[in-house]
Amino acid sequence: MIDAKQDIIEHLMKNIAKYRVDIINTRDINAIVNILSKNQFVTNNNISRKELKNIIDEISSELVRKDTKESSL
Amino acid sequence: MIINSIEFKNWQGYFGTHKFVFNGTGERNGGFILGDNTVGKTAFWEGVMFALYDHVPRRKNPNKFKPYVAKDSSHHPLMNIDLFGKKGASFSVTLVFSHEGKKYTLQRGYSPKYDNRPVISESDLKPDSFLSNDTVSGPEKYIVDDKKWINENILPERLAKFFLFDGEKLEEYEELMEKEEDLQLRRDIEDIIRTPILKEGEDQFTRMKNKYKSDLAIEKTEKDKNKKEIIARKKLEKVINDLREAKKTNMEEISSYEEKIGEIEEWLLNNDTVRDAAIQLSAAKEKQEMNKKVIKGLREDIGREVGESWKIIISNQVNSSIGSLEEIREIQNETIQEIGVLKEERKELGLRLKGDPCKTCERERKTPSNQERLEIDERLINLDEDLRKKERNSKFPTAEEYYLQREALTKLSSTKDNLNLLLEKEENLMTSLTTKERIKEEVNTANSQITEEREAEVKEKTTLMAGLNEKKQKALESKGSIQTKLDENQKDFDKYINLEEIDEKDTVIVRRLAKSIQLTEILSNIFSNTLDEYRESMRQEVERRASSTFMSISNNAEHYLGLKITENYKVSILNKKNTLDAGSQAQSLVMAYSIIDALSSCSGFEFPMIIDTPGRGLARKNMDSVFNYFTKSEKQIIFLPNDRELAPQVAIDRYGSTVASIYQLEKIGKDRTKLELLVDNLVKK
Repeated sequence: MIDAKQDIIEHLMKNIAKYRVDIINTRDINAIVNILSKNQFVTNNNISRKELKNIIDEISSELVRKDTKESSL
Repeated sequence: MIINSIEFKNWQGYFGTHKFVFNGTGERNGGFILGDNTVGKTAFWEGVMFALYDHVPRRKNPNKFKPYVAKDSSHHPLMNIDLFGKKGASFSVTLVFSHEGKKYTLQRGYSPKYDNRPVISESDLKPDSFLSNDTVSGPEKYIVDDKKWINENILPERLAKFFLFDGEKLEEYEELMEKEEDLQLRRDIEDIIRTPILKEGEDQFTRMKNKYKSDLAIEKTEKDKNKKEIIARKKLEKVINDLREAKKTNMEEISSYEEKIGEIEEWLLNNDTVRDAAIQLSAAKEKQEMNKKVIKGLREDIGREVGESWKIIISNQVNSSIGSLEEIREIQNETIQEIGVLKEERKELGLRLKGDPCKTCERERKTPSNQERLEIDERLINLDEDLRKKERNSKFPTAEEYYLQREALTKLSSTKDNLNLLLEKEENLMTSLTTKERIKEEVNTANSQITEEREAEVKEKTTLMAGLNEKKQKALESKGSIQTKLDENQKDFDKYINLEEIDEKDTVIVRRLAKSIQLTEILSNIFSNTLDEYRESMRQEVERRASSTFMSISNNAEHYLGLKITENYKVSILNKKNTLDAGSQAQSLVMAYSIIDALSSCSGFEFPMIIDTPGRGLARKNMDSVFNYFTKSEKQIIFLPNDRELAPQVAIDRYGSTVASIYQLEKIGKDRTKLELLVDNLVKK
């Protein structure tokens, strides 16, 4: 048995590695794919949009914090 | 999800409570449910569907559902018809299953809304359902929105066709080999291999990026307090928003056309009975010709048999008359012999009277005395009287009379002693005449479906579909031009949000928005780049698995290399010359099984395969291979074959040790199903 969802995550992670985008980690991709997967068969996507925005906002805030910390050093 | 048991209460033909268990010892969890048509196999399959999705689509019109309650079985109600109009009537299906290491109970049913009112319609019923996680206790035990949970965690209803399927519908998969156009089934295949996750990801992140850009532009221009810039930005923002709105409307328009086209395709598939009716008509006419010949032959046979049948009817009397004639003839012969004896005695007495010697031994005799003379005279008188009587009786029948009577009676007699053969032929004739009427009805039904009206309806739908395709094409062209304008305006807008100019002097909000824009852009690109790559890798995997299954179950495997699947999921059989093979209908059905198996194996959905009438259209050898292959697979498989597809004893002998249970269904009474457990490898409590 193949888990199509897991296979998608692996393909995404391969591409992330290929483009050297180290700001996105496996945990984030897992969370994103799970949200999109749950909503694949649901017509109203508002919840998924909010959930995705939360993930992006969290990563962005973390990146800003990291930049501030680095520049203050 | 692994089904441990399923219990029916007043569900269709299952009157009362009936339970099927598949919780076998060892790794065994599959089963067979055997039974002839109309005994409750499809009701089992539909019970699983009902438990999960709260409705059962009609077989010939999947957009409509079967009623909960109806008086007549022709409406196929879900509640047993014997309960129609009864107070307190209820029905339910209870599924106990394991999923990701947890045990669940799902009950779906309806109970009476009012205690004292007879149940005659759906409005007399109220839902009586629950879904519980039996591995936990407390408030978390009961799952509130069970239907949503099932669609998200178990199996979306749209994909159920890949797991709960009907052998009769295998033809639908055959179209994969024949048609290039965008069929609903191909869209469903995209769904089952989950490519929409990547498409949706790309779209969502692009939309989010635009929103972040807009938020950043507001932040930047508002902060600078440059009124002229704010007005220009707002103007541009309005244009962009209008274009996005136009894009959204355009996409909705395209989806609506696609949906309508899909509905018409579905309609044509299910209701374009003209083609099916033509096939049925041709088959019915063939049967009609055959039946005509059978009736003619039987009538000729019966004609011959009837010619002699009256003899069989009077044969008792004729035989009795022959017996009587022979008896009379025997008595006559005896009398003639007696006359001879009497005449000899008379001659002898004449000689004695004269005192002449004995004629036989020539012995001398004395002249009789007076007394002796008197005695001889008396004896002679009696003898004469006796002779006269006997001679009178012995005249009839005369030899001629006897011969004529004997001859006449022989002609009337029959060599056969009963009418069984004639009765058998009469019975066959009656059956053939009933068949004739049935075929006539079939011909009429098929003819009624090939009316001009129906043909016109099909043409109308086809024209409508062509129009919708044209509109869709135009909408797709508009989509392109809207996108170009949107890209141009977006480029102008981007001057407000030059990310390179953003540094630590900007506010945290501005910097965070800038990071979000970068992030969503990267994600959108990654999802987009992954889509084609993933789709191709999944196509290869489905092709590999489907080929392997095909080679295992095809009875012609020695001629083939496997299956070839294109990027549009058009499937062909690859022969040993490495060219595409047309294959027979039976092979295309084997192909259908292989594709379903490969897709369900690649989907990641752990769900049992429940297959109704699995042998439909399959050759015996292929059918056996299907049973052998799937019963050994790691999936939970429940087959529902009819008696012709798998005989009970064969099922027990071949699969009795590999499956958890084998049940036999029987019809009892009017419309009730009885089940018998033939093989029990179940875990005992």
